[in-house]
Amino acid sequence: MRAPLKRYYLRSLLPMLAYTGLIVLALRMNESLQHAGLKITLALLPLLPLAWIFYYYFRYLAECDELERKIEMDAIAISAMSGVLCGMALLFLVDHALIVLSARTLIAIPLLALSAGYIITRYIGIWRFRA
Amino acid sequence: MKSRVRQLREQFGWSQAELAERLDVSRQTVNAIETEKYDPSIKLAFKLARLFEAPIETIFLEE
Repeated sequence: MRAPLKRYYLRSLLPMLAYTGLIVLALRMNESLQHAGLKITLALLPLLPLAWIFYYYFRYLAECDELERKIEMDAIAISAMSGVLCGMALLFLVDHALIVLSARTLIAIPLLALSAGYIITRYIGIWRFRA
Repeated sequence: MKSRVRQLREQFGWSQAELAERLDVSRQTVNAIETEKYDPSIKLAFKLARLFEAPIETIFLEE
């Protein structure tokens, strides 16, 4: 594993822990809170460590060599496309009353498709250019 | 694009890892250039030319 990727994984550990902790905290405490503003703040708080991880990801991209960056950019492009296609497909099916989905599922499925698209494309890229 | 990187690297007696270190790229990138799976950027091509003390057009040949 090259140093930039190792650094990215190590740097991401703390925000990852913070993200997990805040998710658990939000789930446990949100019901006991009365004030709507506090509830919204607590619910959205896990986004901060997520943005922190994205910041490290951008730093990682800047430290990549050109082939590594190409692999990452291809994976990002294809994952974005798969997320959009999946989301649009679900929207069309819902619009035509062919399926009934909750808003949560309607958002979660494209996000999963996006993540899966990224992971699969990235590993295909690594395999394609393997040394 | 045809690449003579492997031939030149072997002439200099360097391993892929050594060349990668000199270029500040991964071994995967050196291997991809040598096997013609990846065409390097102008910047990297110039770095290779400087290292091998040869003009770019003698390292990379248009097919």
